[in-house]
Amino acid sequence: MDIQKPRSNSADSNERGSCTSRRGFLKRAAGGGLLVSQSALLSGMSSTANGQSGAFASSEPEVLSGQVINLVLEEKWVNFTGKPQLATVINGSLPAPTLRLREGDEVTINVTNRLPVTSSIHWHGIILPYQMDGVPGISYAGIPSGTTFQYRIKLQQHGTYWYHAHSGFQEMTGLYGALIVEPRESDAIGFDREHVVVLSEWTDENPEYVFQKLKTKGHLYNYNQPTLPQLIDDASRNGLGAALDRREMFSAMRMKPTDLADLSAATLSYLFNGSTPADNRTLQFSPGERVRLRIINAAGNTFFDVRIPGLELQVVHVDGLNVQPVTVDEFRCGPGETYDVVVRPTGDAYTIFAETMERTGYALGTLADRPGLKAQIPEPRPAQWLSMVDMMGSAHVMHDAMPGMGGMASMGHGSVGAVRVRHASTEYGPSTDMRIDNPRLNLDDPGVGLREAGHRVSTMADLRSVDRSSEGLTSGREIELHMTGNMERYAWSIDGLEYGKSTPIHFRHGERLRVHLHNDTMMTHPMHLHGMWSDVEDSDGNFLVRRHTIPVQPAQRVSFSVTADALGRWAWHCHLLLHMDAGMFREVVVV
Amino acid sequence: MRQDIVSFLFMFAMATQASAQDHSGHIMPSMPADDMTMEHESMEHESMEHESMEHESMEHASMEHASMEHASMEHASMDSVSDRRDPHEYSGGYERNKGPYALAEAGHSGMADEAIFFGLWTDRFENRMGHIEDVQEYSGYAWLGNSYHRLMLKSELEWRQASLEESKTELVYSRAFSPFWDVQFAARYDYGDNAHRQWLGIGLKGMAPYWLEVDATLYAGAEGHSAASIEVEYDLLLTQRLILQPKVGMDFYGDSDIEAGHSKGLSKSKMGIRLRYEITRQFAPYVGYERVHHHGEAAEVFRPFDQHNEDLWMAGIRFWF
Repeated sequence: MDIQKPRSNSADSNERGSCTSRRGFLKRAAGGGLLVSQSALLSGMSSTANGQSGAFASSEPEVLSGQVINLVLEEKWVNFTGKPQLATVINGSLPAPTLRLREGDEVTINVTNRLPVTSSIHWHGIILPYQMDGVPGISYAGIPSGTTFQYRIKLQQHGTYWYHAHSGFQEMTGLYGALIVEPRESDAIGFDREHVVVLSEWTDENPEYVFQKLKTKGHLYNYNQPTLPQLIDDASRNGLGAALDRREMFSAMRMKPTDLADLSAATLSYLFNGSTPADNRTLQFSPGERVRLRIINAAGNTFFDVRIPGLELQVVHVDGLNVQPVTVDEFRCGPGETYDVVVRPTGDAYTIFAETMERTGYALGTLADRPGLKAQIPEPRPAQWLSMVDMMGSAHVMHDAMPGMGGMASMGHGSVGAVRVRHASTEYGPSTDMRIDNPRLNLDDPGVGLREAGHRVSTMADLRSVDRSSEGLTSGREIELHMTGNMERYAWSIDGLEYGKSTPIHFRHGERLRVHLHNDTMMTHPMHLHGMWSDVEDSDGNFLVRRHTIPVQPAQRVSFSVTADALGRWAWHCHLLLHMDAGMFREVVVV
Repeated sequence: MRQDIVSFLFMFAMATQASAQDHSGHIMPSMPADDMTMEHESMEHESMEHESMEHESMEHASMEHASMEHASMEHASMDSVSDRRDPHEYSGGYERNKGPYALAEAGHSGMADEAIFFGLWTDRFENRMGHIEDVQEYSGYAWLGNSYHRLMLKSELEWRQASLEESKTELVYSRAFSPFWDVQFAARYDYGDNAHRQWLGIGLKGMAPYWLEVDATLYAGAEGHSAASIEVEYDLLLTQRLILQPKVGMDFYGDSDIEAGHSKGLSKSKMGIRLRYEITRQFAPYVGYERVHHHGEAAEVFRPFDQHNEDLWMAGIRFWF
């Protein structure tokens, strides 16, 4: 099996070469601008080629604090694979500096764009006026090259957040960093020491060329497809009938059972605070301390399954808000999500292991009581096939006994048949390669690849906001949105309509409404609503947890309520950047 | 031959019709609405069986029960087309880039769904070791467009002793009409030693269930000539990079045209197999073996050279960007 290791410098030099030579092909139609801008950016590389460094000295990015913050977006050479590449960075750093701000402060953030193209910065999860939200085309016109935009934000919340560019694929080339808002009062979470962990990814290819290639071949980066020898092996173990059966439905539907991610280690390097596993970044502690790790998934396209062998993880804070502590061994964190865990290390060294969902690689760092230590690195696990639950929804929920997950499957069971599904008329066309008529409502599913983990894995059903004030609120209107796609055409949309063909979703100012996100694809989509909180509910409508980014698994339906208290226009999209840019994106108008 | 064309037309009509048909009554997951045949039905059926097989017999009974309930519920609630939501239902009449809080014209930005992409796909660029001499062939297309609409320039070129002997060039507009199928409108120009022919075509290209890639076109030529061609191929992965590709192709003509080498009815058939190694997904050398048969009257032209039935080896590269 060619399970790809995290890429060393031996990887696919050919592919990279072709990327360079084909930049010229990346043109965008008149209305575009984003594709062109990136090409322009990269073609400008020689003029700014000073210094070559991918190594950022510290284990954590520089920290900026105070009420006035100055950020400069610029280009910089980095080297993650043995080949220098041009990245987009903030204040010379990748990840960008960690901003440590204070709840209640009115901060001024000056963002100067020294990139050759228009850029933008969005404050992910921060509640603010829509003009400050940083989405070009919706909040503002972006930050043109050579100009400074001044953000003024009164911080009404505290917790672990992050910030990133919202222009084309600039986030994938380095524009992201942590944003920590310290509480005005004392922190309800007890800890002795804290570290920021920014998980991300890097590709030496031009992200736009990656996108174009996916348009030609959607399975391009999947080097874990079913093969004939696997079939023979399977048949000799389980009988030919069973082996064929296992493949029958996927083949008939023209779906790959290992379609877990669009990209893989075939093009990506996975980063821990801006470093590849080889750099072994170390975060220090003193034995016996309670250490808070603020883990942010700033990757464009990668879900990470995070664990620290030898340590229990107490999840205390998710998407910037405190949750009732839940002790697990592993959790899945998608692009846009943040998880704070408290650990109590007593030994000398542990590996913080962030394995990618499609199992082709990992990011890692070491938690140690002194520099220079290394703990054992876990064996990478093989990728699991999507199951019938992922294909069929609720009809299979009750069967998918999840070892070690307790009797939670009853949740899905109780609600089978309770849902009336309404597909959009635009889902019956070329844009949509499957539709789920009976979604599963089981929030207690850790998701493909973690169901057989053999230890405790956090699920949406485990998360309970500490702040229960949403509990008594009633929601009026209900809206239903379907995540849709076509892997062969590499098209991604909502309700079968890409952003360009869509109309906004109207929230009446002040109303509380319920949203059903229904996943008609075989991929997990982290859906991020800007400007307003999403209060996730269980299948009986009981409030569970407040989020800003909600992962919706294949064939799953997740319901949540929103109080539309933020006037203006906002973005709502899948936080897998390639899906977002392909059109899995909506504008929300709160009027 | 008429029959061939008729049956092809029939197949095409079925496919087109299937795409318009309401599939919402099916049990989950709904198959995309493009499948040509009753395979659809049997697929659903098999998937039901599949479910029960996968699971412990203990759970079996309740499962069956549940899906039956589903089936009936689905039929009750989903059969009406009117139950499909209007995708603009939640807009409240608002539009993007207009109305309250919208930005001035200059602020608008688009996403990749509104972009135009292009690429070059070279399926075969190969040397064929014939009985008498080697022949070089190229088959590929350049494309421009998005997920649903593409303009393509397709070429099939054949050289002998470094001079172009035959070519088939098509300008194609390809338009998606279902998740896995495109309808293609083609203008084709054949260039050969003895004759040049022009055609207008309508075709079907896409992915049939079980990953069969199908490309079939009907052509109408000058002076009442008609033609049809079909090609089907499949990728069998031996490893993640070593891929065996069986491929069959057939050319039909409505009447004989000896000058152009066309026989009435089935004129030429090819059955081949290629084994490629994807050094990258975009660059793959291959070796292959193909059996080419010329049929009917035109085959006689090839007979003196013993080329009416050719078995040949080939080596080439597949590449795209």
